[in-house]
Amino acid sequence: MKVHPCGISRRRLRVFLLFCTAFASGAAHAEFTLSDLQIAGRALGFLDKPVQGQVTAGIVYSPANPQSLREAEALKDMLGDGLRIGNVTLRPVLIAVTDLQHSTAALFLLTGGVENAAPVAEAVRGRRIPCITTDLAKVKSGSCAIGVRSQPKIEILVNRNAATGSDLKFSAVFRMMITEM
Amino acid sequence: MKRPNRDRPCTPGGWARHIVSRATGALLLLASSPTILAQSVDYGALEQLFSEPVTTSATGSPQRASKVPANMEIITAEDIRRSGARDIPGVLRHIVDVDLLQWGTDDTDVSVRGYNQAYSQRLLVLINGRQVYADYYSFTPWSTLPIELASIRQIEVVKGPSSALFGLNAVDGVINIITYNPLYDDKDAVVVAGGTQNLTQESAVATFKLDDWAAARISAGNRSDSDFSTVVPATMGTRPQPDNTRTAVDFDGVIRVTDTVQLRFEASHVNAGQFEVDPGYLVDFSTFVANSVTARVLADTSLGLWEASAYENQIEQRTLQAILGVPLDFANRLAVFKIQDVFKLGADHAFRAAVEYRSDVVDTSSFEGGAISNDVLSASGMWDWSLTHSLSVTTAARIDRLTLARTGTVPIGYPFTNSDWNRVSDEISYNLGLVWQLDDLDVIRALAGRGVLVPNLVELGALVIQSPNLNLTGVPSLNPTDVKNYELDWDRPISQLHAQFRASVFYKDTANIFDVSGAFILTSGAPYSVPTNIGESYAHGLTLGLKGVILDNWRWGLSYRLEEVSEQLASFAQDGRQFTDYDHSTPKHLVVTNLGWARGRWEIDGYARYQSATAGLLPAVGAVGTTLVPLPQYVALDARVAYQLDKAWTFAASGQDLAHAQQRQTEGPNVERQLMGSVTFNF
Repeated sequence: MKVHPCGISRRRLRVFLLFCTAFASGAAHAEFTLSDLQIAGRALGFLDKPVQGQVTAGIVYSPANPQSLREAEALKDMLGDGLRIGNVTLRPVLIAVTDLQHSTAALFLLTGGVENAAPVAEAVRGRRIPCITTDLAKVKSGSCAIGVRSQPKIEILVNRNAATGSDLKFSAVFRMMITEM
Repeated sequence: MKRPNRDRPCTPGGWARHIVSRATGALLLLASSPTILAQSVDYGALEQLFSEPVTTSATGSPQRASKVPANMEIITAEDIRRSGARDIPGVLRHIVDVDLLQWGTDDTDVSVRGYNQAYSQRLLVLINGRQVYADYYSFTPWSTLPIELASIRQIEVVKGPSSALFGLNAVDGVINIITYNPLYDDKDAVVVAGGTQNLTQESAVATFKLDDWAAARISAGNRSDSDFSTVVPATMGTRPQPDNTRTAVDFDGVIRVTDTVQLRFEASHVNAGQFEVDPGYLVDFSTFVANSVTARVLADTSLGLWEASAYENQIEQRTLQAILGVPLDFANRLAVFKIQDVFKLGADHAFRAAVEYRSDVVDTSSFEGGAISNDVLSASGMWDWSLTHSLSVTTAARIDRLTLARTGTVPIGYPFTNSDWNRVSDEISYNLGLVWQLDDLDVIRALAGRGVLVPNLVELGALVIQSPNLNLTGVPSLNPTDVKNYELDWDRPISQLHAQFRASVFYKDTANIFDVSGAFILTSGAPYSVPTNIGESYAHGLTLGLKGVILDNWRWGLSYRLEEVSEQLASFAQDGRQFTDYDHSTPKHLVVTNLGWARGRWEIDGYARYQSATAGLLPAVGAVGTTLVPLPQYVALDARVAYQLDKAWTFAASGQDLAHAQQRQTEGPNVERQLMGSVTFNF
């Protein structure tokens, strides 16, 4: 890995600047908005095995954190009985981060209040289950493979190692148009 | 249809088999790639994902419009519909950096950032990457484009040289027309229109799908109109009588061979006849027969996005009056084979690598029995490096090896032999781009590019006209024109106005301009007038543009271009005495504005275009050459009103150049007011 004269690798510098931008705009810990969900749902169409039809979207929260639960419930309300986005309809179910191994969800929506998200990475390993979050720090740490944000500009961040660990492959076209780390 | 005469097999079936054979080979090669991934460029899905148009016309790699290392304007299907235009030049006239010379109802020369002329040479036009710019004469006969407006997803206008991606002749700009992909987009419409100048126009677009593994779109169009009845300047000749006609049919089929491999096949046929102004600024009437066939294989593999394509264009042009009273008949065949891979290495580096071979041949005319060919072998590459999240640098380069040749017989007393055409030359073009996202709002682009305009086959010797006092022909030794462009752009959204602002400053340096005339070769008989290189040109300019939406229902735009051109031409070519004069003919000021309102079933749009005073070229009396004539400033007004009865039926009335019954816009016949009514049935 090439190292910048100031001691920071270019990739780290790039991710750092992305986070600076996100934090500056207040987006790093932002809760899911409807626009974020639209981006997340459409991004699923660019997997080699696109997530299509009616699928269960597991909203991952931390039972120890009331804020996380509130955020998860708000997200569940937003999805209602099922939110159709392109070719996929997301039907929400709440899943505690401590109970992921028993989940049958086709994807995880990781809320920002889950401080220890390592179990998420463990739960999706090799299972082709996409993890999507608006908390870009979770993507950086590898706990979640896909980060999205809709404001002020649409950005999609994919952790390649986390995606590979989940056995997720995106189309070449999609990879050209997003930020990878 | 007459076919080019060349010493190798050239039957329609032979070339079709050749293309299919190559395409099948590539398909098998790509299908056997080791790892699978998904999908080709689905413009609609990507546009919905990123909430902005996407394009591959800047680097060859799919990109969001806001992030391309090029000054590009994307005209959407909604823009096309609301333009009220009946053809593509009518859509383009609402873009400030696009210059137009409208000679007749069906004949318009289009350029980007000035440098326009009859048979405009410096703008490369393509449909889905297939060149529709006619190499043999270096121009785009817009009536021969086989597609209907309803089948267009977007028109991408790239400003500045783009030869590193698209190859030779993309010197001032590129227009890449992207049609709907029948596999992803279901478009079905019938449009019937009628209007002034005895216009009748019908078009139909229908899409057919077989589950999700195969789809096809068929479009067809027919148009007939009388040209303007305004006076033709005497030195341009006599207005020809035939009416303008266009009949076109286009087939576009896609097969999803596997989840990762698609085969796309396109074929088209066009018959067109139109009043026109030729490169000698004489009026004429040309009939065109244009056929094309394209096969393309796309494969998404672990080694990147592969594309192998092969296409052949055949076009025959017959003129009615032509030069020195001698009709011309050019039959041109262009065959192109290309393979490219777009891939990403690591997280920060995207690459494109491509090789291309093209064979271009045209018969000599009016002297028959010879053929001029220009074969080009090319290699190109692109490297897009994301240095940081906010800064990327793109480097693209291309080398073309041109092999010129002539076969067949030469006329008696001709000053050349076939061996004079045995020439090989190399041309290098490049594009450099830096895109710097300063913050969440501001984007800066620094761009540099070099493009190469090669003399067309007519100028290289396909034109052979003999008359008692003067002969005309081309020369094999003509040097290509070299265009360099340097540019700085700034984009910024203005939230208070719900608008997007763009400012651009550019400097353009053109060397080795060539002219259709200017030199003479003396022989024992009448002398030959031949093309020659005449000098250099420099341009600098500024473009300011704002477009936005207010109160949900209103959309608006206001753009201004300032451009100054200076030239250093040989003395015999100065002040418009030859057929090229960019200095006086490029308008210094251009303003384009639009205002549109849509609510419920109604859409109302208005457009205005102001052009400052310029000058045009008219044929000189009693000499080979031209004279400059002043042209006044003008404002052209266009408008469209549409009422959507229900999801299926839309009724529209539109007009072009509405302010005056006739208006002087070029040195040719005045442009008349054009009105059109149309009914659209979407099914």
